[in-house]
Amino acid sequence: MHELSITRSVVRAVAEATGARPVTVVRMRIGDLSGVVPDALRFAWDVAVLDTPLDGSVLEVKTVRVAVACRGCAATVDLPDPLPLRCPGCGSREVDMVRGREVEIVNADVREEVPA
Amino acid sequence: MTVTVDLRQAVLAKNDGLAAALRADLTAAGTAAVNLMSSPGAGKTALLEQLLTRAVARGVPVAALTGDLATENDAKRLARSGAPVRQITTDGNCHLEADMLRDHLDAWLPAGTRLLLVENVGNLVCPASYDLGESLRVVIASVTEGEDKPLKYPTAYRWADLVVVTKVDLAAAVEFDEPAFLNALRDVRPDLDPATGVLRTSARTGQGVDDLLDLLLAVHPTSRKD
Repeated sequence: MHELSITRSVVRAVAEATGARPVTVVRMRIGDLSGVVPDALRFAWDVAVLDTPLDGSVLEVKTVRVAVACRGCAATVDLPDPLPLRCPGCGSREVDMVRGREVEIVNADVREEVPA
Repeated sequence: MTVTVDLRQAVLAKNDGLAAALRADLTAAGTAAVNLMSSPGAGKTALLEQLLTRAVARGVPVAALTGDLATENDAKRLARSGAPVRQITTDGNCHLEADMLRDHLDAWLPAGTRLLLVENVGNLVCPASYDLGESLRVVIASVTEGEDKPLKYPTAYRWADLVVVTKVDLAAAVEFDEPAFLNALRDVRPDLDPATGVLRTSARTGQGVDDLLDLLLAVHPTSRKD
């Protein structure tokens, strides 16, 4: 939900960091329990970048699987599915979610002018 | 040539920053803010009417903000309690954000307010991504919504510090399966103890409302770690 407004925030944040330089790629990490849908982000991307230095850039999204730290067996494990929140090893529900809610911009590729 | 610029930035960082500042200010003022979320029609406003009326009767300095896309209806209803109430009209935004709260609290929140109840927009999807600077997050689930809501809306339920099951006076009529609901909740929130983290209320009969108010008044406006 809100992928368009999130996309606009991303474009603004990247442009602030990269200045007027043309951007070719923006990479993001989206957790499986973040509530953000990568396809919806990609859909909104082409609209959100129009008339900005990011125009024409590609959005690459890496999804992050939900991972938990199990208080039962002390393992940190990726879950096979986002829910239920349960250690796949020992079955315990005494777990803390350590990955899976990310909505992060990782980096962006900018085109630099090569000095003549 | 292409240069990679490292950003490592959380997208919701702007709202998170504003919320952290708001949380600090509310803490300094001794005000505990409670964010109440639910799907539309779960009974937030009716429950809030009861909570505010009882808080005023107890002489507790309480205030409320209520968010809706349109109309001031909820603020008018809640104001009948005698508590200071303000409407946030979002003009189409489907959730409240920290800057909206700041705009409505500055120069309004009465000094000495101990408990600020914030009724979020009726929506179980979006509000769960937006920290408002609250000390407690409550998800309200009515018995008429079905038992699998926690599984359908994991983001909201994962966020909740407290779950309030409302309209319990209708539970028998709709054959609400409470064990099934608690099971679904456990799948999403295994660390929420049902004995202390789930309350049952009926705004119509008053059941559970005083217990809920006691619990809310015990919330200290300390900084919350997420």
